[in-house]
Amino acid sequence: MNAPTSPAQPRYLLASLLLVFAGCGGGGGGGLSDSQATPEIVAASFSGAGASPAAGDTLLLGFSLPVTVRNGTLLTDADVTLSTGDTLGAVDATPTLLSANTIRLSLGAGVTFTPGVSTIQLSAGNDVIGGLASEPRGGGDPVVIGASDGVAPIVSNVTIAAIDAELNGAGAAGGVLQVPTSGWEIDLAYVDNTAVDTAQTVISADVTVSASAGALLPGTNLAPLLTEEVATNTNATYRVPATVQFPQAPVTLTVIVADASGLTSSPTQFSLTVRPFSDSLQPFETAANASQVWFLDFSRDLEAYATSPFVGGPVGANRVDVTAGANGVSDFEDLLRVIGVTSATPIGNVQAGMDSNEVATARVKDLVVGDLEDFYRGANVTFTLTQPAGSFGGNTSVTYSSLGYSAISIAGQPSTPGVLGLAIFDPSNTAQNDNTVVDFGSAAGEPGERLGVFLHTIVDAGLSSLSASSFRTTFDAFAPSQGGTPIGGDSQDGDRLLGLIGDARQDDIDAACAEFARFIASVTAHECGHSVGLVANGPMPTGLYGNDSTNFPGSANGHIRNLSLFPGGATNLMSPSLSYTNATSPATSFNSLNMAYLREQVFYGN
Amino acid sequence: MRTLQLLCAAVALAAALSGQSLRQGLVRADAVLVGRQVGKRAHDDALVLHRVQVLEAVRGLSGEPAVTVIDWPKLTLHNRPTPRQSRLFCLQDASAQAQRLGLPSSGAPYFKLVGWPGSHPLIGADRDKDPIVGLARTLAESERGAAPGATAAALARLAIEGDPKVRSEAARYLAERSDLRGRLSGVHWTRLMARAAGEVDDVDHKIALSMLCGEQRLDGLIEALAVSLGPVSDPRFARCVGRIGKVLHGEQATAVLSRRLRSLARAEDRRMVLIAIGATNTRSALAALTKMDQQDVAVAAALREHRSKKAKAAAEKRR
Repeated sequence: MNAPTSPAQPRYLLASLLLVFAGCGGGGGGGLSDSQATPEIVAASFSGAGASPAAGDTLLLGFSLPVTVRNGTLLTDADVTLSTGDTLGAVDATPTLLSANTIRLSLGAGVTFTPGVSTIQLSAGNDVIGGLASEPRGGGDPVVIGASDGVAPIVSNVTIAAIDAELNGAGAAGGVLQVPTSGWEIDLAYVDNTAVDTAQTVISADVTVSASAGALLPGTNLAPLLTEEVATNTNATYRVPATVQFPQAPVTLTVIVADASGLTSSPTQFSLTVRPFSDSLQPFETAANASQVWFLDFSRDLEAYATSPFVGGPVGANRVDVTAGANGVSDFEDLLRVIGVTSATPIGNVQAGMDSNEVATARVKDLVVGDLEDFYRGANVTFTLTQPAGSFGGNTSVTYSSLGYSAISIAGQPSTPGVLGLAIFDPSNTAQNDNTVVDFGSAAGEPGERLGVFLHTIVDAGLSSLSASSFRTTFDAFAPSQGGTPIGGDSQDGDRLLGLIGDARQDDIDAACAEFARFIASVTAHECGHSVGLVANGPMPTGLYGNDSTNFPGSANGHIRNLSLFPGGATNLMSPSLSYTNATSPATSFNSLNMAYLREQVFYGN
Repeated sequence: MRTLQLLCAAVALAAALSGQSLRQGLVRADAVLVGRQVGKRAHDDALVLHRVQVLEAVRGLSGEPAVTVIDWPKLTLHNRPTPRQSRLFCLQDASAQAQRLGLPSSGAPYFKLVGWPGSHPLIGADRDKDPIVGLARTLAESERGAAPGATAAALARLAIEGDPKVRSEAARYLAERSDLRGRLSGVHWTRLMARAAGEVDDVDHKIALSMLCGEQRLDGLIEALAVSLGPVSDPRFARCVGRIGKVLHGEQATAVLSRRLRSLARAEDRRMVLIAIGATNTRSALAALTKMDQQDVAVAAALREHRSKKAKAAAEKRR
């Protein structure tokens, strides 16, 4: 019997052993040509009538892989390494295969070990327990033999990058997630009646994985080589580091968790496909630019806007009329005036020489940037109010090497009524895109389509809506056409903009600025989303489930609606339509698959 | 290229079904027809021309058997002709574009589809039984001079007992048209309010009816709607009741809703009423909520609905 090894011994030992096995090939002489890692004990659990083991009591052994038990062969002390002085006793019954990766052993007379203290591992003398494609042999780290709590843990979810089940291939929409060779996260959720021993979690793959030390055979427990980001009693997240590279192939991950009493879960599998990033398929290139920069252009000035009563419309409602021709004021600022965020008679020098209009306008713009950064958190994208150097030179899309930014206008009226935004769809985000043009698709002299975010659509619909609508209950207090007092129209509004008054009007000002900014940010996030590749039609890995109205009712070409994933009043940002209410909901965001794409955890295309 | 459309009705709420802004397309389009795409040809890389056979000219046409719909193929416009399908087409005049493009007069008249979501729905084989065509005809006849009373009655009938595809649109249209609302009888309003109060399954329709009744400022509306707070557990409805309460009762909305609290036993009923109180965004609501149990999760949820900093700070503190 070998000297016991500390259970806390680093797992690098295990990894190195497996590498050695990989180099050895067949080994055991039983005819199996090893193409898989060797099973190892990951958990052991004693179950008996008393606190100490006695003949006839049970020892359950959980393995990292499906195992085979050699017929008619007893599992004895010769097959395992126990703590010094411990023994399985005079075992007289062959072990029983309880499940693919669990065996039950009836302990023999004279059994001696201490649950919670003693350890066990397969020894070099093992000639009983083999893998489906490997001969019996020793290996693995010593694991503590626990005292069974009677309830095995259950793995309730395995996914990638926190992608919801209906979007990760497990749902009715089908599909298989496509990930790069490394850099993505594996998320686990599990339940147990006591505690999960996260150090014993097994994550293996059915392919040979490259690590810094060499090739790891299929079935190797990869968990020790992954970066553990979170590991609690209910969930865990592991990131595949750059030192671990999956091959370009379909992959099935297998996950097993063990609880503190030594019981293991049934293996849970998750299928995905691995493909190396290419320049054309990686969502965000970094060769030419450190990140994708989006310039938010508020300067478009094509029209003037004024209100008129909505005759026959709702009580107190107004329409926003458009007069063609630039008026020297941006369409964005025109519309801020219409809804009363700014005033015809601003208060001077409210802050650093800026009048109340300038302060309110700057606040809205800053909030837009902040909200966009929240929406895109974790993605390699930044937003700026300052135009970077360079220009599109009359093109709508240019290469990354020729320009350092993409752009979108936040302006007034669309070319097509009823549209909130329009942008270039750029599958897999292969270019810098100019969503500020007003003549897309036009040849000389032809009228094209305006691109950008069209605030006239929402302001007109909002001011002409019902008196109890979300929009009017926010802006009736400010919009002059609704009888409101615009920000800057009250002598104390300057101080209110600085947060110095603290009355109800200050709350209303804060809410109006924040809501309108949130709405703009939601629509802008949606349009920029299209221009970085959202939402390609079809299931993964062809697309991101766009246009699947069967499985995601309300979806449309290039869009996906996910009713079940958002609380009432909120929506996926890439839904085909946004209301003022759901666009301003704090729970509105990109769905988990869209977010995983933006974070380059998954990608689509061949 | 993609478009994002405004869910116009849902300036007040988010509708889940098709037809969310169908009425906007029907009344704002230059022409409305039931048609079928029968041909398509590329003008260039940027433009495609769809030939659409006119199955029924609802309004805005002059007897043409077919029209041409301009489309940008690189745009994933939500509303786009689909081969061989019978659909409603709400169209914007594109004759100026066609002229500048030099498109042949043989393809005239030229249009493009408007962007209102839900304004390009499928139409059934029997048009006379299709509820969408029925709504389109009603609104077109109204534009052609049908008696407002008849139009209003027809829309009220749709709102109360119409097909789910159009009933909420009918309610929203009535809400937005004070001239038509004024033609409805007391019987109509009694039935509309009863329907608003009694609906429990279709929350979008319940909200549409509630907003309609709120726009008409019906007496006893908040009390009637408050009965559903709890049986209907969608917070969108509670928010709707709160906003209507603010419009109808101002600062008194809190007192009106609070009366409902006294007779509630179920925690869910109480939670929904409290959310409605928070959604009134009144000072009285803030005062009432900040006096309530600091540890009550329902109170915290209600405070989160209130937009004041004080309410949000209180809710955060409790969290």
